[in-house]
Amino acid sequence: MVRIVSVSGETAGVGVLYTGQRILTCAHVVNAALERDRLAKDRPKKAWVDVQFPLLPGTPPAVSFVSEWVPPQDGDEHGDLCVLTLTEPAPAGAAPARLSGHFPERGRQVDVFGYPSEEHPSPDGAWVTAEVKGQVGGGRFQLDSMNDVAHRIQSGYSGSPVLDRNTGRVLGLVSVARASGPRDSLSIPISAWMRLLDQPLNPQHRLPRSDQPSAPRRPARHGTQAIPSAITGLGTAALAALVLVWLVRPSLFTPGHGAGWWLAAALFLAVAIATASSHRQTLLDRARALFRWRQTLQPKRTRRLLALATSLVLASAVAFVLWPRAAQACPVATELRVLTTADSEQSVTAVAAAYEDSTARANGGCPTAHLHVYTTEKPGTDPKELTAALARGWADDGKRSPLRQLGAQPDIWLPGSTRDVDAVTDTARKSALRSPIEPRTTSIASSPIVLGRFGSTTPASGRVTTWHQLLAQAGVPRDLYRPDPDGSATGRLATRVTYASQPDATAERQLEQRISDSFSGSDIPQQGASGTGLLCLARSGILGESDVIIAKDAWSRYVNGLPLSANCRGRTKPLEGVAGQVVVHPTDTVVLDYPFVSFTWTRSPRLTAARDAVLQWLLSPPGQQALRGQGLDAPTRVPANQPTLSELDNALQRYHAVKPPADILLAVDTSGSMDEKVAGGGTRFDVVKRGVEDSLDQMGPKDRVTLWAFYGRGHRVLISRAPGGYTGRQQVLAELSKVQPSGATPLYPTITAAVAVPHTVTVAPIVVVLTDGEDTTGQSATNVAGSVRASKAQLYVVATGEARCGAGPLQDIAGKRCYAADFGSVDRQLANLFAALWGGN
Amino acid sequence: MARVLSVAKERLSGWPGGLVIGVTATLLALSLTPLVRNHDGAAEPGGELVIVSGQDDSNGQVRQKLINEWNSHNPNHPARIVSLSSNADAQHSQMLAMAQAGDRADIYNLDVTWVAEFASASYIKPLTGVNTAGFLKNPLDTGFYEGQRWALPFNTDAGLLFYRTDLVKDLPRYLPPDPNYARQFLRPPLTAAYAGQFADYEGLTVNALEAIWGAGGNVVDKDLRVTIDSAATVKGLRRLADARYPPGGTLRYALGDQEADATKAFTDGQVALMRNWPVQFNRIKPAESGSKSAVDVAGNFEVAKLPTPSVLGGQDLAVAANSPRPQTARQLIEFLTSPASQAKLFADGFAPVRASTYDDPQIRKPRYAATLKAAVEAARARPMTPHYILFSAAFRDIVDDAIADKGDLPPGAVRTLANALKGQRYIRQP
Repeated sequence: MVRIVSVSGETAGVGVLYTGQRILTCAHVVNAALERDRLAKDRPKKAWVDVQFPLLPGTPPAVSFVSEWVPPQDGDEHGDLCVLTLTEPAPAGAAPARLSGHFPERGRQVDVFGYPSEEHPSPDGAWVTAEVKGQVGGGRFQLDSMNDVAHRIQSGYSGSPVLDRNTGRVLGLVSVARASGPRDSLSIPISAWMRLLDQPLNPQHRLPRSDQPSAPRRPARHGTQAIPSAITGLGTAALAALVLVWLVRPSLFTPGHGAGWWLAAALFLAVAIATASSHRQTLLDRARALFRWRQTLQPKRTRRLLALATSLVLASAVAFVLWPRAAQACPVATELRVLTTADSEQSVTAVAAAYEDSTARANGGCPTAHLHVYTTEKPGTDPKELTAALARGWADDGKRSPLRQLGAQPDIWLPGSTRDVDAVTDTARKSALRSPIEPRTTSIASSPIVLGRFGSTTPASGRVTTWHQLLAQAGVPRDLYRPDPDGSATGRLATRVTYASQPDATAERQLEQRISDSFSGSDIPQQGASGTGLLCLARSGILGESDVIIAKDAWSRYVNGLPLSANCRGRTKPLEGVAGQVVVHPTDTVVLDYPFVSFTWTRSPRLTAARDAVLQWLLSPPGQQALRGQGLDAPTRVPANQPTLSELDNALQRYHAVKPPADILLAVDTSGSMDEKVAGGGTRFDVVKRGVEDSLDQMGPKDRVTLWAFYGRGHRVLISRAPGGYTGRQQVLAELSKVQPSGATPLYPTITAAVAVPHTVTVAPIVVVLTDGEDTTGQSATNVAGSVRASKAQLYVVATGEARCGAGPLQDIAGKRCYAADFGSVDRQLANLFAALWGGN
Repeated sequence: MARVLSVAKERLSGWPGGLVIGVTATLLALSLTPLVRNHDGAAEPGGELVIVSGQDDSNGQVRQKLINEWNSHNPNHPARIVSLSSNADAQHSQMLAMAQAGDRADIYNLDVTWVAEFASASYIKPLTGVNTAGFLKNPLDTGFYEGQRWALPFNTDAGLLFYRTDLVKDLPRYLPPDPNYARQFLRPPLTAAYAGQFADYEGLTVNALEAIWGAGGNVVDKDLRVTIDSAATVKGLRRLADARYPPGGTLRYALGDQEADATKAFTDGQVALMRNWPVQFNRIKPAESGSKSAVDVAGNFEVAKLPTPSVLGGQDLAVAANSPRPQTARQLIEFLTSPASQAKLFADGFAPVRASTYDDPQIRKPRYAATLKAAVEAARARPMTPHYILFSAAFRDIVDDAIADKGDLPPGAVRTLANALKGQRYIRQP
């Protein structure tokens, strides 16, 4: 209950607090308070209205201003209304009255409080009990003061709330009372007030913001006031969230982005809510009035529903923005670089795919990692390059660039044998470098070295067999193949275990001769030969009846028809049970232990976590199942009979010692075209010199090399039968450095002369010709080819630049031993060829 | 003071307070944005710029020369190229891992198909405010993803039709050529009519896309919807199948595994036509004087625009997200894509990205310059998706199956491609 006080301190009327800061009263009461004409229609401007809370003793007076104004005597039910807003929140204890939206029933008894000023004045106010008599014109209802009460409703009761005795709710507001005589009075029902408040305010009734005496303060947050405030906050929060998204993902706000419309809608909604909430009448009130829901829904419930719906829309929009692609596409998976051997490339690729599938299954179809599986064991790549590159942390050494020449810097290394890891550590130690290998390596699988036999009727089992017995049993007539000891872990271990089974060096030499003859007879390069590469040839029927020393997993993939190598990626029909395909497990064999190697250079938490997850999976049942699917056995500790690194090195040294020596004549084209520039800098001849230099690194101590240069009209001997080792190498390089390319290309006379040179060693003489152009002498290619065939020499041609092997005369002359290479790889091609030749082929 | 704080707290606790705070926060954020995003206007400390790029296979090492030129003018910000393998898979893996690990890089030289991936993962920064005037539209568009510019094209590429002028009178209407057209070349010393790239690598993706486009089909539309099951697309696949495995079991008339193989077949006189990239032009060289044995292909060939749109190739330069010198990196990109740099790149065999470089008579350029420009302008981009690598692998498997099955699509092709475009794991069929 609020007493409205005039500027002179008199009682102007009564009002009722209906929210935390708002008071309902009659417009004529406010006119009286401001000492204006009681029927003045214009809205009071810059006017303060003093109010008191008479039922709260000790409460200081408060100040209010007009915030809603419907002038008195408008002639309809809306007239004579004013809402005052307190400049401060209502004092403690002043609870807002509860309003009733129902028209008062006839006969209902009510209480009215006021300040009688005519009959029995009472400055402290007096209660009157009255009875609702019913509706009268203008939407008002008649209220008769009871006869048995001390006072009657009179002047001084204007604006007073009509309180239902039963419910305590405010039914109306006294607007007209007689000064004397009859005890009737008229009141405006709250239901009419509610309608009025629901409608948008007439601008002419509104107090311009600039006219307000002061900025109103925030009403207390209780009741329905809290909801609009919450919505305002929500709108502001949504705006802030959108700004944040704009900062993080500006591209989402650009035209053409799929989320653009959603963002635009969310932004519009947020701005609309924030703006609408800034009005004195809330958006919810407006919505309720618009749809006239108040008859069916309680205002508070309506507001809550609308607030909930709005919140959901906003939350959805913001969530869509913050998580824009998850519903549409997978995030970019973590990239892991997995280095492995040529023998394992296909199997690791398959296992990696299984791992990616497993992460995808656990992540809604989106793989969390992508494994780039690759190998550096390729023709033209010196196997020692990998060891050296790993030892120096994949860094350039001024001459070699691992990133450029070998590929990506690995996060995971899956070599066949722990001894390869030892070699890296050993190389790093010898170079005074810190080994990049993480201390802990874990075997993920194993595979023994076995003997695969093609076209054999020998039973696979039935009696104990050692390598010695097996190789002796294999007999001379059968070809024997083995992966390159310089290029693969399988080859190294196989060399070691087979040498260990031989009684002496002579037997080792005979074994190597047998292997060498097998490769030569099939015209298969021994250098760089991988186990899976040999099995690929077997699959093509090239190997014929022969034996292959191989890892058991590779053999399993062969018989199961799985991909073997880059050249054998297709599947074939499984061979299991087909006669003539036998594998023998010698009892004294060694095992590839397939270590999982990590590097200290992988420091990013994201990559290390992904790497560790791969290891964890590989050791789990699904990972082991995937590995078994590739023919691999369970992980193993390094067996007791596993050779040490020094034993392997020793075996390699013996291999190089017992393999047949080579005496090679190298004829290099030094015609004018060799002076042309090439990619990477330098001239063609510079590349050739690098190739020769690398080739000399492959020489054994017993090997010999003769160097010719051909240009102009013929050839010139630069050096004759230089020995392997440092001295011979330096002699060759010194002579080569003196050469200045010039003149034409006397290719055919040079070949004819080279194949005719007598050789002193027992093996067939070898001639290597490197040319970047066709012959310019006009000789007959047919005659040259005849000369080559008539000699015992093995002629190899490396064709680069304008020289070509296919469908040309060089193909006729050199046959399959014509190798084409561009200048990006000719140096490696040459080194590769020399390594093969000095390897005994 | 306490009273002031109390009043301030009270006055800022209502909706006006929220609005004031929101507006203030917004303005503050906006004012800080340039610092956060681009460092625009901020003076950057001196130091080296690292460009991560695939190996430069050009004869003259022109990229390094351009870097040397930059270094001579910018001693405080010298640049260094970290050269990666020429193998695209190795390049992609290394760059991606570097970006994810936050390794030092200022600029990535990305294949045009990787821009979306790096942009979507925010491994590169938006290139806002760069001057794009003068660039050819198609190459320029490759650096634009999700309504934002992320990169500028460094060099572009488009396939060309190499043909023997002594054998080919009329160019084919589409590729691979019609069997009836090809038949005229199936005589010695030719072993086939046409050479393309059909090995299982990106070359097959490119050749298959071009065959499909040539038939009026498509694989993925501009909204990344899969359309591979259209009749026109299947028609294109049938042409591929006919070229590799002609009806009746006759010799396939389309040869070539990879680019170099195709060039070799063409240079050796095995085929009359070849689809290949312009970089192969200089690799078809005449035999040395005096030689009587070589087929004189080098003196009897010409290049033309493909009869139907080519796939657009090339590489784009983008600023690494973790670059400590993004503004300088941007300046370096602008230098490398400037008209002067593009002219030098063109002279060394790279297809330039600026129209003026093709048109300027003062610039030394190859004789196929006009043809190349027309080819680039007619070229079409591959799907711009963050999961292009996955998409391409899935597409190739589908193409392989289709070629082996007379052009018919394998079951589930549409779903496989749709999943791959979203990055969902695609299980390669053995």
